[in-house]
Amino acid sequence: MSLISLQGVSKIYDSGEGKVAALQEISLEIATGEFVAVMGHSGSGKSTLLSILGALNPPTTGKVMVDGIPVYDLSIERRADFRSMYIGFVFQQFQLIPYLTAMENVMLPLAILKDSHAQQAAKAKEVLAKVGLGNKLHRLPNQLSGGEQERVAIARAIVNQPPLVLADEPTGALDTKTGQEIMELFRSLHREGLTIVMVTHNKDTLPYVERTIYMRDGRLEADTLSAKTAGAAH
Amino acid sequence: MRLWDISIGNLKVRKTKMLLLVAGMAVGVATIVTLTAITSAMQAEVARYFRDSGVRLVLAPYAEKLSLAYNGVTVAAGVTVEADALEPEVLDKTRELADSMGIRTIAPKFVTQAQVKDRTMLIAGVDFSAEVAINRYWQVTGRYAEQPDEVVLGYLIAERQGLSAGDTVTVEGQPFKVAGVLAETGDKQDRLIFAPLAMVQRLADKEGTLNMIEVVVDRDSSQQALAVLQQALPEVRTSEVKGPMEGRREVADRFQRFSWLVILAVFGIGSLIVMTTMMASVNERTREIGIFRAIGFRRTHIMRIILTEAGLVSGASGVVGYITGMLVAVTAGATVADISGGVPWDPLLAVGVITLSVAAGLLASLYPAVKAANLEPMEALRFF
Repeated sequence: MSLISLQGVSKIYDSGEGKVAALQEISLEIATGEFVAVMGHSGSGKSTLLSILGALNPPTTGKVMVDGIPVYDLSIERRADFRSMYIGFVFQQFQLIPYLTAMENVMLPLAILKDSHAQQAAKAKEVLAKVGLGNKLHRLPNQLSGGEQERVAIARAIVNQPPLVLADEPTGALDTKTGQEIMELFRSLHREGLTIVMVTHNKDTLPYVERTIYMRDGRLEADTLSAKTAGAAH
Repeated sequence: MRLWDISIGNLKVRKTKMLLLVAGMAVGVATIVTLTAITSAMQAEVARYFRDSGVRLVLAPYAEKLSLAYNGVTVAAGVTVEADALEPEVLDKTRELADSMGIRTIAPKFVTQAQVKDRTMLIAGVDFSAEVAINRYWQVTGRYAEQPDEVVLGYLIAERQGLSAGDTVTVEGQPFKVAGVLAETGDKQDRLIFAPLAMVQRLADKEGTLNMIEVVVDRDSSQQALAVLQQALPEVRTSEVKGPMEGRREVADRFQRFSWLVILAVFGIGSLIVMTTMMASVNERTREIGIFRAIGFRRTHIMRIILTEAGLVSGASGVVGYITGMLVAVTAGATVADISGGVPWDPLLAVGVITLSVAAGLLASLYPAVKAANLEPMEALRFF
């Protein structure tokens, strides 16, 4: 069953020197529970695609449905509610709030919900333990390594238990070993049923994903299943 | 984690800037508090004076010409014309009405001219106990007259004649002992000689004659008393006397109007400082706001975060400003504004000024908050 459905999605920016088509007529289906990598050169449109999937960037034309919801037909405030319920973001460079501890950063998406402080704390501790930071709850971001900050960012993305996680270059700021650890973490989350769409330049991450979408000049160039997934499909 | 935890966290991380903002606003609030507290104390002092001293009414004969007068009573017109006199029953009628009209004091007077050395001066025959009760602001060097041959001199008379308590002065050829000299009052009393009523009447050969009666009535019943007296004694001119505290009241009123201008200016400047600081804070936090919006914060959530910060900062400024302003008012009030009763700590002023401070902070932060709330998450993040 499709969690995400894009039909004829285009995004045209006005750059001042003329119109630039970041995405052109993209149609795409992503099923519930898929782990998808989006690859392509700089300017290929992969980040624009991720922002449109994340209900952050209305397309110029086309339709975006997530779990059957026409995302861009929602009002701005309802779209914020949608992001809160459906989407966990793992931003490039972690994007943690510097004055909040690891636990407070993870509790951030819960601050707008009705959970009590005790419930929020319990959820935050649980996901931080899951990402291996159960003993660093009260550290500030600048007291954590890059890999640990990435883990906090992942914990923040999943604390609401959203069905979809969007990750932008999650290994881009990490060394190879830490990058592999993070990909292992994504793989274990995916095995729990989470749908993950990840933008990446790093080919080392591809063994962890089920499907890779290649983009060039705002268009889908290729859409391939990994050998293991393809084998299972046959 | 609640939204206000985010606000407090941000205030902590921008400690220096926010402390400077609190200090700036507190100076403004302190200015408002000092001015308001001093003005209120001045007005309370004036009101207390009027409440305690009551309202002075003067009953005097109608006069055709006025040239030499005391409290509107014609003592002499042209060179030497005798003053009009009140009918003897006026004093009796006034005494009859006293209880029903809240009259506290009745001070009959006979004012006439007298030759002192080679000059013609005014001498007022008074009942000293009633006069002292009426003129509560009087301060005497020496004492008030107790014997028939004693007088009390007004400030200017004593100064010009070089007289002081214990000296002797000759009035209409008779020697009088100067029992005391009044401190300067700034009005016509400074040019008067006060002597026992019966003595002055005898000097003028007018026993039993009065040309003025002053009464003190309760402030609440003064208008009613005035109306009743005017009706009961139509042949007498009854009017209210403005005392020297009227000037003080005018000063207090002017000071209050000036205070309002300063408060408006401080309010405007303070609001601009808050708005500028909050705008800078929003600009510095663009990316952070983008993250909040991306993870599902509504515009209203962003506004609440910014406005909570503004409320906390301006509330703290209000508290600090109130305490500082009151300390200045209490310390300097007596010296600067000559307030005898001191400047009281007023909890209502505290509530008012803290509320005003928070309201100004919130109002000034409304635009930055709306601007922050309207940031497009994509623009704010600029990470895709």
